Amino acid sequence: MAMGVLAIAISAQLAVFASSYTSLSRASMKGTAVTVADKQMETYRTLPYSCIYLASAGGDGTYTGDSAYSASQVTGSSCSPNATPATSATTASQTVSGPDNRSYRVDTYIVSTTPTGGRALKKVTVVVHAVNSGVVGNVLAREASTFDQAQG
Amino acid sequence: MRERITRLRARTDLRLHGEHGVALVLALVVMGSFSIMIAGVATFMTSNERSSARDRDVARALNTAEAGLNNALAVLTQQDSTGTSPIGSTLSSTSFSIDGGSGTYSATKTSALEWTISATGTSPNGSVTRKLELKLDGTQSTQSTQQSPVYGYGFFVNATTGCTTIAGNSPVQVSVFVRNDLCLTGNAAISQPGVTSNTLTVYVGGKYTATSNPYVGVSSQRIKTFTAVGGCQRQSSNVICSTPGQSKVYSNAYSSTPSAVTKPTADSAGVYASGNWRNPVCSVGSFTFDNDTTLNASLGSVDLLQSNGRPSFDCTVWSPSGTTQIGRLAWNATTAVITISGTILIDGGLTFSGQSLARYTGFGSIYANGPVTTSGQAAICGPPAVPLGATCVGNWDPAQGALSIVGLNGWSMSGQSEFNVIAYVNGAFSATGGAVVTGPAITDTATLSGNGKFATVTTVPPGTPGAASSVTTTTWNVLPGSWRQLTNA
Repeated sequence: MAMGVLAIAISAQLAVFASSYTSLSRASMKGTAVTVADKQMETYRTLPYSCIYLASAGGDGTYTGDSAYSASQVTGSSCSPNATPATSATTASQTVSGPDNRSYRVDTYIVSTTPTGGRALKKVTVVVHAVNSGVVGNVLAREASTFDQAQG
Repeated sequence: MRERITRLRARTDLRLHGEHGVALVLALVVMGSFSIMIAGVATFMTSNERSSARDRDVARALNTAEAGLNNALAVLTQQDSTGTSPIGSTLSSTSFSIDGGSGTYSATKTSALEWTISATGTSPNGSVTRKLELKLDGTQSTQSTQQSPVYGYGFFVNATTGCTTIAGNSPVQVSVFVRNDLCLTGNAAISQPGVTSNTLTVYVGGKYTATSNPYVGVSSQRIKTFTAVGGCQRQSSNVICSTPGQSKVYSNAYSSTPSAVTKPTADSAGVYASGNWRNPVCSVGSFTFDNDTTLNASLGSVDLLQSNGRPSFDCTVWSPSGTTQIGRLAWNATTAVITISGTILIDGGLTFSGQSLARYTGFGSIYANGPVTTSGQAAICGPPAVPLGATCVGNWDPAQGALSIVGLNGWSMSGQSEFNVIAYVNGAFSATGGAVVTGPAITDTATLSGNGKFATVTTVPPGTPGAASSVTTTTWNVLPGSWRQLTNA
């Protein structure tokens, strides 16, 4: 009788620990994904307006399947007289290693948009996917903002 | 009795030292402990999930608010591009959405060149809102452009090939600049006006050719400088320019150094884009500047005064946004007075027929998207001169009022007309008979066979190609250090 009760208690305990581990792990990944997205977005905040562009607008099905994708993205190759931005800022789709040493895929979309009565802005959307054993998984985090020339 | 007590004690001791059922109690205690632990883990797990989700929402709300600030920047730099909006002006609260998030932005002008912008951003699930503030600062710079030197010449021809021919019997008494050859024939001459000397400049970018009896200056009234880059020829023979006995050119200085002066460009497309020409605002009568929305000479030829038969009108053209006055043109049929200010464009040619006799007041320019033609006895007199027949009585004083007519497709004058205007011509300028323009004539090619009578002006009116201008540019940038996050009210 006592062994039965103990067995049930320990089984429940193990189940809870297992699901807790999974949940904590996933929350940790999401938190890291937000950090990765923040880092990518902050990169654009340090760049002159003319340097906010993608080297190439294309990508795989995951990239083009996102709602932020547009066939007419802002592309370029230089922003003279300013220094050419780092490759990480101009790469549409890239896999990076997070601070937790896990892999994350960062998809960046840059399109031109014009608010009513205003001038053209660049809208940047950053989408971070989980990568498990080389397979691109669900969206963990996404951020979007706009950039005006007056920011520098 | 004592034995009974001893037995009872022994039984009690036996029971107290027995261990039957202890395991179950222990199991229940362990299970209780586990339950508490599971509850703790579950609570921690839930809290962690909630915290992680909130981190994401905070990031999205902040980025949405940032987007709001940038949207406001994009709008303000357009709406107050000149920095002239009064202090206290506002940008009303405007809603927007981005990637599932939503927000608002608004702004207030807090000083002559400063806007304070605030924006809110809310995460897609509505759980987190962030409010940001930013200051937009403007700096102004003024760029001044001097008046084109071509207006220092009474007669300027821009063509670099061919020959500019001057015939007729009345001497041209203004400074002349032709970039091609200058051919004087018959009794044509360029001479100092009145009893003056040493004031006129003659520049010939090609060769100076004189056939028959032409002359430049006279021995007692020499001109200031004479330049012939390609040399001089008289009666088909090359002669030395600086030898007046051969060339009949009397000047105090001679040169063959080329000049870089060229005719300024007429920005007709820019002028057309600057105004709502199809919808002028008329306080008196009406006038058609354009009948469609394209610069295509759709009006054909417009007889401006219709031999003074045109009804009075007073029309003003505004910028497409309706905020800036581009030009005003008025005609009073009773007093025969034209009033001009700013820049006017007529999407067609311009004709002054027969008895078009008027004087004008004001400073301005009229662009004619077609040929300018005059005939008969027309006279357009600048202040203080007044028309009398086909001439202007009194001397036009450009300081009191000046009118530029910009002919975008040639200019042809015949008859006995007199125009106290500045003539700017794309294409050919032709004056025959007694027709005269008394302001400078700036043209691509020219043929003068009548009584050439030109004058220089010190200051050409606004809107004239090559007029002096002063452009103030306002550049808006984010004030460093002004970004801050506000507490949510």
